[in-house]
Amino acid sequence: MAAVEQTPAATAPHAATQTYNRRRVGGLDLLCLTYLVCLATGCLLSLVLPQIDAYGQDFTAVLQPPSPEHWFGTDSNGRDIFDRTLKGGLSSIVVALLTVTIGIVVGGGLGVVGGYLGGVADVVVGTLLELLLSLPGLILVMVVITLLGPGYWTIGTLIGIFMIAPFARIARSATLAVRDRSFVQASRLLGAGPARAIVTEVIPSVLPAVGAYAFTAVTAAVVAEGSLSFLGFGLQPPEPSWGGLISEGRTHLGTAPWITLAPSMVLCATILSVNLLGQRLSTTTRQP
Amino acid sequence: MTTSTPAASRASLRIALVATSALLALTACSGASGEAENSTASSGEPVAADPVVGGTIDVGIDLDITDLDPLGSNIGQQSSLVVANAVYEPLFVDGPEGEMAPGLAESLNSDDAVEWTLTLPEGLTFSDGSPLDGQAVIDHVTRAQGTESPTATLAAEVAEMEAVDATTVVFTLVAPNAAFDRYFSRNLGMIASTTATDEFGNPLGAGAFVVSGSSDGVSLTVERNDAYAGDPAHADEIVFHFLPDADSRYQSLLAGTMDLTWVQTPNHISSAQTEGYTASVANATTATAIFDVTEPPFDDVRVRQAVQAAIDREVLAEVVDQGQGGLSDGPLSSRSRYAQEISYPAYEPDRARDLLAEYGEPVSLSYTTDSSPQSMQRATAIQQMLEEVGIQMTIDAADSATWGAQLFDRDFDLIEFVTSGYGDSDTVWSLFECDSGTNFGGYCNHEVNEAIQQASGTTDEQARSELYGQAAQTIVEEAPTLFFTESPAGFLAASQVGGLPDFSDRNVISLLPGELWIDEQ
Amino acid sequence: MLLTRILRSVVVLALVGLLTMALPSLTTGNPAIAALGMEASREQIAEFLSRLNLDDPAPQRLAAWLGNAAQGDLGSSLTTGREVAEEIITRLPITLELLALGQVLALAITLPVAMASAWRPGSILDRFATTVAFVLISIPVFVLGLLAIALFAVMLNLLPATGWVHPLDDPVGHVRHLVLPVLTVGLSEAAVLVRVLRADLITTLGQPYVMAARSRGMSLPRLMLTRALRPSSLSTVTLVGLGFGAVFGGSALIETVFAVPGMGRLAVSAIGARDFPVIEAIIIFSAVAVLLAMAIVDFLYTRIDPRTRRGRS
Repeated sequence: MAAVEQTPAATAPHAATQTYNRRRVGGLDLLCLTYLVCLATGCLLSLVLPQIDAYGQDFTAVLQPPSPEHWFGTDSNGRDIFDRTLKGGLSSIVVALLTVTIGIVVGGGLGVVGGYLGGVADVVVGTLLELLLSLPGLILVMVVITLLGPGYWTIGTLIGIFMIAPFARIARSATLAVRDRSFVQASRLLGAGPARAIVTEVIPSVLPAVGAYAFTAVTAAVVAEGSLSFLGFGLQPPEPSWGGLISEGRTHLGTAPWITLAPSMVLCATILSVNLLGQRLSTTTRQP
Repeated sequence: MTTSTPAASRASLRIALVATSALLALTACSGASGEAENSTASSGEPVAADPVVGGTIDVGIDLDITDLDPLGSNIGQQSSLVVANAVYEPLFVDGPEGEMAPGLAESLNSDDAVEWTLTLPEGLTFSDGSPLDGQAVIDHVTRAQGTESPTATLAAEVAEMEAVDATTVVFTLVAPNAAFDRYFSRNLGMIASTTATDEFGNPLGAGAFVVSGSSDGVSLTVERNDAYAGDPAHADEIVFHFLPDADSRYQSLLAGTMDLTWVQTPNHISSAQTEGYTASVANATTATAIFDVTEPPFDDVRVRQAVQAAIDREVLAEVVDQGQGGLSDGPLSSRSRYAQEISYPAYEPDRARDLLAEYGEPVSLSYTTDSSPQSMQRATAIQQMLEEVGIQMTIDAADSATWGAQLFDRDFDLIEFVTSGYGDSDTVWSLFECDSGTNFGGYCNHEVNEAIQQASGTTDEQARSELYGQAAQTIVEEAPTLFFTESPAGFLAASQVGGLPDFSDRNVISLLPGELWIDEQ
Repeated sequence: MLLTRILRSVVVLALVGLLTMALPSLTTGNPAIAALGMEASREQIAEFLSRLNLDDPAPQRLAAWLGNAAQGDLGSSLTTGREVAEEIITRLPITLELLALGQVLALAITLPVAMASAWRPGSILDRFATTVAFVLISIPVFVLGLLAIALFAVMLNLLPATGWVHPLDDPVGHVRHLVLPVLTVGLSEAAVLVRVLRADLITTLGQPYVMAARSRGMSLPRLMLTRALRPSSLSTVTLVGLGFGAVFGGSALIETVFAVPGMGRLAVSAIGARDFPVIEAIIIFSAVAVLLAMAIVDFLYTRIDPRTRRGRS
């Protein structure tokens, strides 16, 4: 999917060149971190706190602009958009975590195995990656969702499948870089089988690169989930999701813009924060 | 909106009913709109009083018309009528208060509802000059009988046809049908030549325009037909643009790229009026929902009544239609010529709880709808209302194809059905007839059935009205279908467009585009 | 090298084809009923199924599809009844125009900005450019599009918010409708490209041969254009290439936001209606387009940087 494909190239690999800014922890980082923690807390609280009501409709207060009572205003059914945004964040979180896990485990695993073993294994992995890259991700995910029905797990798994390729690439090139290094060679000479060498030597050296990419992957997953629900292939209503909320407000863009703008801002702020933290982390780890 | 139509009608061999194609078509978009009463209000600039001859009118509709043949699968939905009317002006037109007004024909009369006499004016011709005479009408009806279109079932009611002379045809029906004439205001009355087609493959018509250009999936262009028997069309040319997305259709009007657009979205109607555009709309779509009454728990009338009593329709009208439109109190629309006092059960949550308690088992239901914004809004509101009386409702937001499949497969508990079919009080009853192909929910009450059939056979309007009234009252009481709102649909016009009729007292939005003009200065 | 590459592409395409043809088997309901919609008769359903071969195993379906495709027959849409090939021919130019103009705009922004940024990393201009790019990269394309609509169409009322007009019907209207979508594509693409190109330029400028030229007194603008830009443009070319690879449906979001009747909308509505003939054609062509774009990108590599001719890892 467009989002998944382009964002990775954009952020991680070149972050190291941002040499001019070497502060370790700045106010901006704290701000981002605080924001993300608050957001995650709020989203989780929406599961337990009855005060956060993402479904209750007040027919006497439809399309209300933001106010102390309704921070983000209300939608055309009189539901509180702030509460819905918090509840909608849950699906983003679940999907992002699932996606990144699949990416790291499956993608990272394939990349390490292909890179370490080389030969036929590498060709198979390479072909698989090319297959994933050449498939129109967004479209395929939409097709499968229509056929299987939407749900946290389906959506997360499907996006995760398309996250395999970038993780595998990164893991593979990191593996190639360490494969012929002396300590790996040494453990091989000592009679360690490939499995053992991979676990004890390769994976620890590959993890930092994969970990740095995880931040990019999280943003890509959040965007992908948002895109799907924006296009109407997300969770079934009345279950809120960021993309769905943004899409619902489109008809009212002229008269009640907050329906679209408030969740949009939360979505963008989230991606921005994750991006910033990811970049800061990768610059600091690379320049010890 | 377009949802089910094309796929739908293709397969609709066995579906009868005049209304059908329209019913299905409209299901997707409900609408709601501006101030109910003066919906035709022209808050815009008054249009030049005298028609201007010449110019091109750009019309945006919600459909993609691939086949203009009135006996094909594309024509039927309300918004498709404007295109078909341009080329195949129907023999009769739906006028104010549901009265039939002459179109191409002069009259269609019957004394016994069995033998009908059609009179055409002298000298009608198709656009190639060949005569549109009695024989041409017979050929058209004969072709209709042989097609797979929904019109075939209507045409099948004709047992015999005879062209008495060039301008007179006598139809003999299989069974009495006092509303037979109404069939000729839609597809069956759009007489298409059986001998000649235009360069795009459409059969020739005798309307005010002929097809002059076609761009697949984008637009269809018609130009003035010089052989037209009536007053020549004012505009030189009309381009019908296929713009399925309601928002972008509206934006195209605001941007000036369209002069006239089809509208069913309430906030578009109200905001267009504030922006100075003319809205000519009528509450011509009815939002309903149909129960599958063949399966528990909805085979139990108390459960249906409980759901009915739990839904506050005033709120639906206010929230979904933004106060435009009105309530629908049953199969007889408020504009019907048979309109009468029907007492629709009131919103009484307590009564709903009592009925449920009496039923004794917990009730949950799945509400199937398409995913258009208004449908979702309505479903969401209903969900909360039902929850308040203890009914767990899930929303099944189906895509268009699935929605149609579920409707016809009776694979639903309660399915939303938004339609223009109730605009024709004589033909809509097949939704409730026991053995009808469009009785989606499987409701069968023999008294209702009897009344409908008796009414169809009686020529006395008063008697028919009474029979319809009885049927309607029983239906709203037994609640096989829930009636929500009558919602607006129609056209928005830029100020340079003239000749747009006032649709506010019409049951069906059927525009004859020859009457339109455009002042391009 | 070339041979393995072609071989691999063929394998990939075959896999894409098989996967695509296996999709109908995922359908839970009866695809015929979903497509026919109405009260289709048993015979109709049987006939429909045999025509579509939805029940056949994927390899058999793929073979049949390829056989028909070789004769230019991609089947007909289940919803509109139009030929799929015709549908694609109508829609493809619309998306191509949008993407091409978007990419041109992106490059027009990227080249000067990236060069000015890389010239003096850390300068005010650089900080500004990288910050803007960073923020833009964090805005999903559909949000960017909606913001553009809210600002230019709703608030300022300068441009039409959505829609598409045929250029022959109304050339001016055509251009006016294109402005916002092209701007959205261009900006979001430029945000990515600026970062990539800037980083690559900085790397190149640190290379000995560039340093040497610099020490010989070559002016920076000249140095930038004649020595640095070309070897730094590999990633940029890749991204632009992949951007075009998305022509079959990758622009679904943009086209949905702006109601452009291109390939993306076709894909979305076909998916909603389970219009398998259309979906299958889109997925397969899309894979072909991506592989083709990658091949072209690789060819361009050898032009841009002769060193890659000996084989890239």
